[in-house]
Amino acid sequence: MKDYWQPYLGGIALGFLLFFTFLVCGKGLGGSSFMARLAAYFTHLVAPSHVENSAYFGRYFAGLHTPLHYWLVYLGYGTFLGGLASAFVNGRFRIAVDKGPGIRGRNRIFAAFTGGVLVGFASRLGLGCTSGQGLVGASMLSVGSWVFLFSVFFGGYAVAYFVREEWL
Amino acid sequence: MGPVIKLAGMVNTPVDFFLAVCFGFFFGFILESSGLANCRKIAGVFYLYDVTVVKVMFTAIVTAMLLLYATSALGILDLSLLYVPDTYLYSYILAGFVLGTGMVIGGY
Repeated sequence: MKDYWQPYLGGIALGFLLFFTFLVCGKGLGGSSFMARLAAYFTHLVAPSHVENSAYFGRYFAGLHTPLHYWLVYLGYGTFLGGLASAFVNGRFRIAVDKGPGIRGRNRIFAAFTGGVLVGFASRLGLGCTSGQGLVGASMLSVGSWVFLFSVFFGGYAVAYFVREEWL
Repeated sequence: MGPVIKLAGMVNTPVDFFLAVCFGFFFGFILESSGLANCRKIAGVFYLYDVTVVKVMFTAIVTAMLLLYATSALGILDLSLLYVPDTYLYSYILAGFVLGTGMVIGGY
């Protein structure tokens, strides 16, 4: 298993990638839209009328195409493949529950699910996650994005003490 | 001037599709290689035992910012054509707080 890249080099690589994405496409990178659209697509398979009448998700189905026919969704497929490739190349690929040292697997799954629900909700409320708001908005010096970013750290630090047994 | 190819939200041609998957591939590769797919590293930010995520993120922001403003100053890129999230201050404060909470609980 190889070491991770130097953080500053990884950051420079990520910054260049973000810049070239902007230069070529005029849009930034994102992660949470991919999940939102996947969720809408699969929910639509079982409850089509509910999703189409939803004030938020309904607009995904307004056009001719499925909600998966979208820039950030294709980007998401690529992100999945890229992460997988990196894990393989660096010998980090394995099937496991990634967790802190002192927590049982079942509790970790429950915590991950709870956290996922919160992050999913927040990413729609905030029009993005740490990619769309954090990287894209912040590098464009958007005031809202910086407020969002500092708010993320504030939230994390405010709650960290109460879930310390999960990680320490 | 401006972005070389402007995608209007929808991916309509094979070129757009190819570009999105390519940029995504590098995005995923860089994130995993830097350790940002590791929940212990993400949690480390909130207990200050590993601040890799902060180093990577802020280096990326500063790098992209400098490149954007340099190319804008040279007249290569028109910043007004680029995507910027709309600003909803109170929503973002609440969203950021909830996202940070979810991040430290869930680890991603």
